[in-house]
Amino acid sequence: MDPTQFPYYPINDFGPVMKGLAIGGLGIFHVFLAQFAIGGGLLLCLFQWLAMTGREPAARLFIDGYFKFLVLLSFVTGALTGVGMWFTAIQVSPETIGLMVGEFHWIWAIEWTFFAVEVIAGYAFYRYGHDLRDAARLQLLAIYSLAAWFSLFWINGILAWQLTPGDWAVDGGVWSGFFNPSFWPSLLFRTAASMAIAGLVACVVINAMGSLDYAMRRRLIHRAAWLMAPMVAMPVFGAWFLAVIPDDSRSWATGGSIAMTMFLTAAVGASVLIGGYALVGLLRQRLYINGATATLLVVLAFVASAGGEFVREGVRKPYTVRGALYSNSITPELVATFREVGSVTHDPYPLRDADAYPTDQLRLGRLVYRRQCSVCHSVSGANGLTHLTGSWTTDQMRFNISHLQHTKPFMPPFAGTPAELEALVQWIAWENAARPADWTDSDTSALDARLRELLADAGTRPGDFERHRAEQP
Amino acid sequence: MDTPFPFGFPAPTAFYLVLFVVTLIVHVVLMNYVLAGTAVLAVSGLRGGLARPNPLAGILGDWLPFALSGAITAAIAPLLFVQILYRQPFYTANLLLFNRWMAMLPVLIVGFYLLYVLKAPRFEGRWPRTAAALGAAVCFLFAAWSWTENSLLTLAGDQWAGFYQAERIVHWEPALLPRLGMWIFGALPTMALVCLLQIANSNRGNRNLETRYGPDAVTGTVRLLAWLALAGLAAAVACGLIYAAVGDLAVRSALTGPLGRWYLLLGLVGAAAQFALWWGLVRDPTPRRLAPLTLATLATIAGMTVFREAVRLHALDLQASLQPYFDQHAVAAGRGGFVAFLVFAALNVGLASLCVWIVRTGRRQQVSN
Repeated sequence: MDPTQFPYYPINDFGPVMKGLAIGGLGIFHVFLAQFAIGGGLLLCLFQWLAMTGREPAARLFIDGYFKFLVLLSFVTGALTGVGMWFTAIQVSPETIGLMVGEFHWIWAIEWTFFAVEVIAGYAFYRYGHDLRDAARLQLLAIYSLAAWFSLFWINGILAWQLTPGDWAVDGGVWSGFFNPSFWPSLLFRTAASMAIAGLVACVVINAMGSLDYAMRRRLIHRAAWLMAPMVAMPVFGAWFLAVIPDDSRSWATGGSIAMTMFLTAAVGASVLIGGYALVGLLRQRLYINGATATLLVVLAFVASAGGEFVREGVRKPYTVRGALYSNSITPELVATFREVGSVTHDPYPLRDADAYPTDQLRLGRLVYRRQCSVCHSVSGANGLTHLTGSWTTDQMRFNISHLQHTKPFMPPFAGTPAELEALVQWIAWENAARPADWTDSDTSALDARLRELLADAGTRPGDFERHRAEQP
Repeated sequence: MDTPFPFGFPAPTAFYLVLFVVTLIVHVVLMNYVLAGTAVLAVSGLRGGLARPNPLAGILGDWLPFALSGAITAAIAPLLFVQILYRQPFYTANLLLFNRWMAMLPVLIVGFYLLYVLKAPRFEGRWPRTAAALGAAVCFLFAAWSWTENSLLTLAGDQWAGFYQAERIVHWEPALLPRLGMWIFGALPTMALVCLLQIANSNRGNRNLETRYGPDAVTGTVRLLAWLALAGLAAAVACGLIYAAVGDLAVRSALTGPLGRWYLLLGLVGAAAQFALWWGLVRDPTPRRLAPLTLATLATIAGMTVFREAVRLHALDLQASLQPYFDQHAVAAGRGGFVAFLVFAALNVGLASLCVWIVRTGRRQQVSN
């Protein structure tokens, strides 16, 4: 790509907050609500069938109350956080969302048609359900449920593609990317999780309904617990997912990155607790669950979802789309170009606080940080550079940053000129020194040969395991 | 730029432009209903109009949550296509106004729930309903203002770097208020039309408003709707004239150039027809001539939506060559999935129709209100 055509966007400073936390927080919330809506549709179909076949008369009382709860929570907050995800994704990485939309806009358009059906069927039931015959109610709920699940089907393909693009990396085909290696395990896992969440929320709602007596609640809870039965298959789907993701991604989750491993452990642990309680307590021993315990299990389910989503996002590093786009929105092909022309040479957006830096070299370093590092690192807050490099010597910084993808394979290669590398090193050193008013620039020309040697030694290719192994003599 | 929209553009660009405009029109109809509906309820509440049940408050209170849900759902498609058509300027404006977009989500959620408060029986009474309507109207006006500001900033490429460096959070230019006013006041005739259609439909069905509120109340509501539509049209035209006067070269190019002027003419002809038809309803307030009124309203919305796009295309063309955009559109058009989209869109139109059929035929008994 011609570096002058690189799409520079204004980059906002989130202060001590990692940008990933913004999209991660909203994303987890949205995913949880969306999965509740999907599982909720299946649960309502089951309960409508139980009611109309006379197997569980009290189910009829439950359905309308649960559906109102679903509409108020999922149709409002769920729908808006879905749109909000787009806007938040733009704030964090416009290049990533641009690539996703460019490649998969027809998939997204298909998903939109299913979402529209979900809204129409849902509101039709919400508004007219109490006037309808049982068969008509079941038909509406079945359409709602089908549309909701297919929304997941289509979005799941796009999200899974980000981690495992599969043959898309070779032929660029939409369907090659959509039906990628992690598509099916991810879809099945999310379907089981959706059912479990819906079952747990049902237990909360059942306890909150004053119109039900104890016996009715007990029976309904036992019925709702059946939606948690597919949790027995979640370890299989999870293992399948781990088996098909790239070696290095699997490595982060299974010990290579302690943060990833701990989040995975939290997700698995919470799921085991919920699954164990549901399978042994609710299904086998037919125990009763009160509102407080049910609420606690919903919170645990949220923790499990949050942990799982954090790991799914985290193990993509250093990419947002594996092999195609690094987290800092620089493509692998551009790294070599930026090594020659600079990553911020053509950046039209000036620093907002240029006067805060005593020298031009520090200003350049700050620009390089903004362009290449700020999407994942704050200066001194979450994942802050001063925390990570505070004990490094200046020369160690030169080596580590120039060899970033080898030092830590979940980092992208440094994509800048030797002068930019040195400017970044000096700016970090200045920040580590508590931003003194006086600062002397390093002599870049004297260091030029050394810096070029370091960058050449590191190479421009990513540091993922497969490539690294292949390139070793 | 020397042929009417969308002719004269490369096929992929024209294709995405048409898709964008068509889906945006659907969104605009629903958005107008929500925006004007909440504003009317808020003003009505302040004047004591929500103290007792009346047909307009009943219809709006009942349907606004669904309409907002529809407006949000309908917004997704144009939001998708705008990212293909104008990726860099659209993303840049969003990033520059990031405070606004981060605020938009909670504001819209609050507005959405306030619509349910407006509908809930437990919040009956003048002041709770007035407060809910007022709060919702403020939320949606905030969204309208933010969106207009964002659209204008998209076109102000020469100001982006300065805007960023100065850490500004508001984009101001003389065209902002008249453009915003044009859309806000223009929402009133749309809302009035949809309410009129709902009244006409209720008179045919089993939820007869005349039975519930009395014939005089319904007649009064139709006349009120007609006055609201006329006032909205007049104010929107006045704002449009100011917008044309203070607008920049892109606006003037769209006014005089072939790309947009025929659509502006379509919009104005539609507005003139609406004037005549609404005036007829002021004199004889019975729901009638609904088909021509609907056509006239759609003509106005379609004409102005395309004209809005013509302004944007002229502005981008004045900044730099449009060729990079055309290249991006060609790449996007080369991506697969369109045939699958058509298949599933047809399937889902069928499913949506099936939902309506189920509701129409699946009643246990006729329900009277």
